[in-house]
Amino acid sequence: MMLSMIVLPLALGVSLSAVLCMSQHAWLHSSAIAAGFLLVGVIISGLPPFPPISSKHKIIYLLAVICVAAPVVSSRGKLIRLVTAGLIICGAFLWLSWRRLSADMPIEPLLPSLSVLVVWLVGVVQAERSKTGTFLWPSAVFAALLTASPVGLLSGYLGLGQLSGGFAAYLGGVLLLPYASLLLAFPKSAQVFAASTAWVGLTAIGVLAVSLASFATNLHPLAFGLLLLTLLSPLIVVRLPIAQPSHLQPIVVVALAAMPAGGAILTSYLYF
Amino acid sequence: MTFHPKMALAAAMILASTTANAAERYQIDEAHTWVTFSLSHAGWANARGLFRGVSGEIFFDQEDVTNSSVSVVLDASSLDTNSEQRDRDMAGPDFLNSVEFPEITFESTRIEQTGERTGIVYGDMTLIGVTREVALDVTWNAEFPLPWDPSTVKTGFSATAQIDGTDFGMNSLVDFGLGPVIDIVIDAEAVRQN
Repeated sequence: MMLSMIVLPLALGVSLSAVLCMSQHAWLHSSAIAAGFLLVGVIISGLPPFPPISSKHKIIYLLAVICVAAPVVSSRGKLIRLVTAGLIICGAFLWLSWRRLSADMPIEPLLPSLSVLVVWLVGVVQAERSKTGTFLWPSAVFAALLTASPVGLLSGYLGLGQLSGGFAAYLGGVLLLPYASLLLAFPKSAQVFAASTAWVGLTAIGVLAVSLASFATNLHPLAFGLLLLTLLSPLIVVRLPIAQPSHLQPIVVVALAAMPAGGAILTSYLYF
Repeated sequence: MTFHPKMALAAAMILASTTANAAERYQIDEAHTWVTFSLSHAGWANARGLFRGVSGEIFFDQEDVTNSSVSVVLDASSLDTNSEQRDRDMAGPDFLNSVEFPEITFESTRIEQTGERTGIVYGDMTLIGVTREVALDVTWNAEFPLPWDPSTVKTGFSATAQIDGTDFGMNSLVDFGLGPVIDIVIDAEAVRQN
């Protein structure tokens, strides 16, 4: 399990970033990073049947949709990027939850997943506006994925915990080399890299969060709310004077996100 | 004698209605039916559980059991493994996924008589949206009226089956050292419907 959840995704992320550091094309970065998310999903969850039967299978298909959309939207305007990702998240909500919606089951558990959309929209809008700090939002996505893993495991959705952990390892691997190069020389490619990662990563975690809110059998609303807060840490970091050198920003983002992340994990543990 | 297609059709319909009538209809008695299962818990012991919510009906032809049929529905969320925490985990998307698939169903397709009171009931079992053929080894135990209510006739069966959870997409069983072979033991009582 550790091999497929951590070692392989981490190795894939590092290898991919090593190759992509040689390119400046945003579409290539977007599609390669999205394909990496899809591959990690298949490594952990297995190849889903067609047509998909359960929401777990649908997650892989939604990652495939992100994969297809990523190269297209990377070369378009901000509005297109925003609308496309919004459609994917809304589509994910309806597609994943349609059995519950059509079977007249209680819809209260679905309400938290709507908050994903709000937080996610704030994230994407702010990520688009962010001119400084190329690693701000990818670092926040990394922190959120890292938090979603134990929260998922403790909330009765083991598969999503595994998936989030694998994605965190993969994204960590993707960010490792560009961040090292940022510390050394700050090459231009790092900026393209991080901007693409932000869009793909935010959309992917949006899909995971909707699934977690809809199907985890033991998810505490407070844990879920705190998990979403980890994603918003860049909003504070850009206002902190201590975080103004770019190379410090990822560290401050993760350190700041650790507070709601710790709260989310502790709440899940106590509710376990 | 001339053979007329309409006569053949009429004869076939009469024959069909006769065999259908020979099978009595029984309603499964939920309070006296136990659908239990066990599977290896990482090799230490066999984890056991049961489903509390069971409904269904049996068409039972005592003269020709191959003419019988069974239809059963289990409430997936009624699982009881003697631990609330484990029940919640088992109801989650990794295992029974009871939010998306609230029912586990079994519909018999054919029955093979193997002894005076035994048989194999083959049928389609649908679990977490996946349908596979399952064979139940069934023993008919007894049938007689309730001693305190002669108008109510009850019959009883015991059955066993074995399924592989991964055949139904429950691959997480393997990840967590469970099963994946699941032994099913059923004891069911059913009331004859007049």
